[in-house]
Amino acid sequence: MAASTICVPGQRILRTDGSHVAGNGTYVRNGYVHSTLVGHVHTQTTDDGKTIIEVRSTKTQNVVPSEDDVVTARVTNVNPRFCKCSILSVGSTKLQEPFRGMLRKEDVRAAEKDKVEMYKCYRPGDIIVAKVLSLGDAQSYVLTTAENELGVVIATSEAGGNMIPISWCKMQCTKSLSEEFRKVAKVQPEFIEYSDS
Amino acid sequence: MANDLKTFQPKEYYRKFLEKDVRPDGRELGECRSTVVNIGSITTAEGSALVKLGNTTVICGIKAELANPKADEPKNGYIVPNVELSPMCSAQFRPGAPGEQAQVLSQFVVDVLQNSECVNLQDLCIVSGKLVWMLQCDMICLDYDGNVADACVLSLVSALKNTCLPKVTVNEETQAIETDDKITNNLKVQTTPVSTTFAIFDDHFVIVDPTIEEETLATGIITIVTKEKKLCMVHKPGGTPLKDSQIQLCIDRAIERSGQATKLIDETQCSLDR
Amino acid sequence: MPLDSRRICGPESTQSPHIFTVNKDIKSDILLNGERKDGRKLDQIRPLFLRPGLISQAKGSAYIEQNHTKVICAVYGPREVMRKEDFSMKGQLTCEFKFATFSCKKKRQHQQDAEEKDLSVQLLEALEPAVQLDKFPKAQVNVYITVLQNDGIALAASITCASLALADAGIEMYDIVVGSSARIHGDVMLVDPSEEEEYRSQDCKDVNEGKVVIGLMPSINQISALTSKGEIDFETISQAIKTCIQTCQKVYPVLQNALVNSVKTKT
Repeated sequence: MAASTICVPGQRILRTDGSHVAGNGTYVRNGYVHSTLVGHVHTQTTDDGKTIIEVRSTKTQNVVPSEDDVVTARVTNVNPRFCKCSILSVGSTKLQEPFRGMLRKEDVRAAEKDKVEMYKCYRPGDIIVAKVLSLGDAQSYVLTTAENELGVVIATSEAGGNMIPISWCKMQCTKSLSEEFRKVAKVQPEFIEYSDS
Repeated sequence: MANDLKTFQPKEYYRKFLEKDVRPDGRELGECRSTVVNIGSITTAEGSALVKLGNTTVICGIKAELANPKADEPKNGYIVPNVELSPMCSAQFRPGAPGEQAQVLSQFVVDVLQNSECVNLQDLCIVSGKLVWMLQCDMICLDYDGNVADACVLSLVSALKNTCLPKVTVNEETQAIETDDKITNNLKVQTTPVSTTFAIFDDHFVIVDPTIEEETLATGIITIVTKEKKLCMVHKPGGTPLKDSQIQLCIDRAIERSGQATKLIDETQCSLDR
Repeated sequence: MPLDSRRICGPESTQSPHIFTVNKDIKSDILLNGERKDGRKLDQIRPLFLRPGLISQAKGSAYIEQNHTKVICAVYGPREVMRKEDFSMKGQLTCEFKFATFSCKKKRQHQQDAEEKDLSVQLLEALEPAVQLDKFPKAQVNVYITVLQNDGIALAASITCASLALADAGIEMYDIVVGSSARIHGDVMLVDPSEEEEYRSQDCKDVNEGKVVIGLMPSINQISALTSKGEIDFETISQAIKTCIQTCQKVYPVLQNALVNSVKTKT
């Protein structure tokens, strides 16, 4: 099937036989693969010779945070027991509207959990990378940063300047050169994207 | 991981553009978005107009009804404008009673109507002290991409110019009201008020016709209402203080815009009449 | 009417000028010498205009115009459930139906009235079976419908418009729902009735006067919503449903086309 075929929700794509698997954006009903989205049909061959049928929308995907997703969030509120944040993107997909998240004190880091002081880890306005621990309650998702790669990625100092990390727990302001405590994320080189500009 | 400057540090993102005298959507600082006016598309309303400023869309419909005048103003009719920021136009609005922003906008439109003397309320009189017209003007925002105030004023004025009222008389003997749908009169619109909104960014960049992103990042908003090349009203609810020279610049730009908008309404109106 | 303190209020009591119209055309039968007043055939639908994706702020949106009936719809979400009491672990769909104040001959109120609430629920029930709610746990999708002008079949047009907007939003669905409506008048059936031809409960007292509205999922051939009003005998109603299904099938390619075109123009 050509990759340029456009289908609409409900449209039959093909009859299922042993060699086809219904992938994202499709469902199987009465022996047929139907589309659930408006978009282009893509086929992909797996190692064991099966073909995965997928429908990809041209719009940004509709994502909701789910367990083990890496999310980017802005810290909105910090108190000694937990901090609240608004989740801005899930994986590399930007959310149109933020979801509320909560990061408890015991989930800030993996080691010396009982010695964590919330104010020495996060401040309101910080942009953090975190992982979804559970879907939480009605109010918010529960997040964790208890991994080296998780924590603060962008922060502003009290003087209002951007800060750069100088150790795993400290950042320095580029303007005033003052140092502040943060739970810094160790940014993995493979995640850094270089843009053209 | 999404490391997008626009998402996480929108202010920085805008600053980078404005320093080069250009906006992220490609406009210059003093450039308005393309404006489209569509008049008279709703036939159930006595007058209607749809206005698009870039993506921002406002539709205004006017329903005319009969009412008793106030005792102290026996000859004056009523114009009742309301701005509806429905939850469909933006994610920031919720269903239910109008929020603060909608109330402020409605009051702004009332002020514009009163200050510009756009419609003489005495023109709405049918029988003095007995019967007058009530024009209920509802401006529904369908797409909220910034600068809804300008779109509302433009749609209201266009709809008023489109308004046709049936002939209503009161039978002197029986005191019965009689309507003749076949004879209609155009509402007399004396002036054409046009509002122009500017956003102040970082205390010194003044940008005209802001989008929603620009509005949320702005440190101040100033709206100037002009009618026929004359200044009619200035609305600046707090925000960054501006110098005389900056305000003068805004006024000059607003007058220029007013001419363009008036021309646009008149042209659309003419193409409709033919 | 309680005073609405958050809106600009006019005088308390007003009357429409049209109730005083002299030499009003006395409303006779909806058919004129056995023909429809706008010259259509009994089973002829009005020209349909569809446009998905015109509201920039919404996740998905659609506009539908069928002669003078004009409906616009916006879809937001999946987003957070705002009120704590509405919370559920399953995905949710909500619908909000509104007539613009100037959309009908008679002036509408700003607040949602009972009829609009009823239509909201009917719309929700028509759409819910088509949406894969399990794809967005803990979140909700909001559908907002505004009727800009009503010239009959407001509900059927809204169903079509809303499912188009949901598809445009990229919400995963089992199928598109297409709405259609028919008016039953004695032994004739009028497809896609205009405002004048619509059924009103007060003016028809005879048997076999009423209307039927259905929502059809055309490719899996299931009916997701069915409402009827008035007194109709069994045979007539099943005939009416069949006619409505045929109308939906006729309209479906137009919807498909509109969606496919919207993808094409984007790329």
